[in-house]
Amino acid sequence: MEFDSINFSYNKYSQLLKENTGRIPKGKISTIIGPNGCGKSTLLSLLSRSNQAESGQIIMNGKDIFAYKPKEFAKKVAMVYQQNEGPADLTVEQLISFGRLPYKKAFKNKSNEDEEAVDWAISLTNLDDKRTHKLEQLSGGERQRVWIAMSLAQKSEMLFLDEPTTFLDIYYQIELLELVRDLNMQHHLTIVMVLHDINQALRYSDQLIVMKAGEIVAAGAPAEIVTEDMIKDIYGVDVAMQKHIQTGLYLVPLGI
Amino acid sequence: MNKKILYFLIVIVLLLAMAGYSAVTGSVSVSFKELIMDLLDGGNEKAAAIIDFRFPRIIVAMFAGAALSVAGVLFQAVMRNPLADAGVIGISAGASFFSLFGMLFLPGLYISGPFFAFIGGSVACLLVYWLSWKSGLNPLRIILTGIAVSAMFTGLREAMLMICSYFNVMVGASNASNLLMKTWNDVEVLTIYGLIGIILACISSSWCNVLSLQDKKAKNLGMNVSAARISISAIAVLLAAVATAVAGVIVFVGLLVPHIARQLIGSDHRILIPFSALAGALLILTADTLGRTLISPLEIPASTIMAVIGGPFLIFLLRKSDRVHGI
Repeated sequence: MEFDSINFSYNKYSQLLKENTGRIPKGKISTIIGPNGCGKSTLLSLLSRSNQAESGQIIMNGKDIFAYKPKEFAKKVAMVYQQNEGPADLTVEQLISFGRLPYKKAFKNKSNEDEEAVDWAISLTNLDDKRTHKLEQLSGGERQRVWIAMSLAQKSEMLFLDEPTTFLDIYYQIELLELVRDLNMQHHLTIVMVLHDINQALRYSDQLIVMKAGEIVAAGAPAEIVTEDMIKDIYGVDVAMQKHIQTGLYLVPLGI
Repeated sequence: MNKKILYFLIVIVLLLAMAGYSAVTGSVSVSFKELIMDLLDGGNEKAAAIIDFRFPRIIVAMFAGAALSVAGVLFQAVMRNPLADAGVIGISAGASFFSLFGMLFLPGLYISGPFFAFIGGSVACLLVYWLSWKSGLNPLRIILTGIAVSAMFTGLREAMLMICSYFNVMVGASNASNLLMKTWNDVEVLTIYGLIGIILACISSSWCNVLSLQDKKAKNLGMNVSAARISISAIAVLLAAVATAVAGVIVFVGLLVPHIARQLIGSDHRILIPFSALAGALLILTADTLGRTLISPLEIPASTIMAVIGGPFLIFLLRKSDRVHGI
């Protein structure tokens, strides 16, 4: 997926995204980082067609994303949000089946393919023993896995995640990021996510897209683009960058 | 699942029992046997009167209850708001005002009542959407806007009635909010449009299910959210309008029934919609039967009974509404 000089604003007073250009490499994990309000979630919403850019172009597989029919696009791109809502009394399985909507034909019941996709999504997200549980009975981490499973049932090529770890404790954060890496490595999904935690972004991404005030200031492999000076410039925080033997690059904030 | 079938059976049995009880009780009363005999070969005057006057009333009560309950379910789905009810958010008031208007100025048209009611309901619905939409629908804002829209149309209607009485124009009993003097004509209008609406509602049930996710997720699943919202709203307005045109404004049915139905059989619209239709029919038939037997020969309109039960219920729902839709 490539995007070329896209502009976007929610109102006429402030330009939120300015001339964003970049590409999302197929089969890789790309993470968008940047300070609050820099437009990272907005960029993701444009790439996933939730919002439409005012100018510029977003091309997927050689075709403008708005040239796809809604259901065709849903088979290519699935999205998981920071906060999700659904009826509290539906079971895990019922909710995940919503992911099959793009494949549903009018007046037809579930096909074998639908059931297989739902089973596949459930087993990948380790929800086998929660299948018949209701949404209200699940913990925060389990709920987030249900939403991911719903998106997996879409059987899309790309999975977008908008700050998926924000409301989770550290255990569930790591669990979720490991799942994302797994989906990428084993099942070749192209991942695009927005993360707040720079260390997690460093560790789990093939490509970082760094944004500041609506502009993309850097993009590339974490080790190539992230420097102490750049973090100071983007976030205004002094950091020390170190290399851990097991996990690679990490940052320690020193002060502001 | 068995439990759900059981609830369906209970409501169906209660509905049949209530219809039977309602048919034989009242100012003219006959035994069941006499009624059945007359249905088969006629001749009993009392039974004939019941068939002419009470049967239409019973059928109108049931269909009005069913239509308003299903309209409530649909409004709650599209507005993502457990408090949306055709009566509360002004749809019924709009329908009622416009149907009065139609009756006064185009009385010759047989269909004019329901048709104008539909126009009025749509106008009220558009007003509620337009005035409460602010990058999404805020549940409380819908209710507040709805109350304002409802008050406006109720006021207009009363003003028009006042002017009519000044000029000695008889508006007729058919415009009052009760189920007196229902004829087989009313039954025909209500059953045809009511059934069409309920069938369309059942067809749209899987859309309603997807709308219970966030709009952006529904969109991401390839659904045309605006189109779905407009068509489901139109079905809801049709149901509320035709019920209002025939049975008058009855508030709170669309609030009470879906809420209880959700507690009993869950929020899957594929079963919630048919169940609400049955339960709504039962509720209004019960309210109407109670209304005409409690202090007979005086009558309390079903809408009055519903207002008395529904008011406290709305307060109860408002108090717990923060917990209703949040995950």
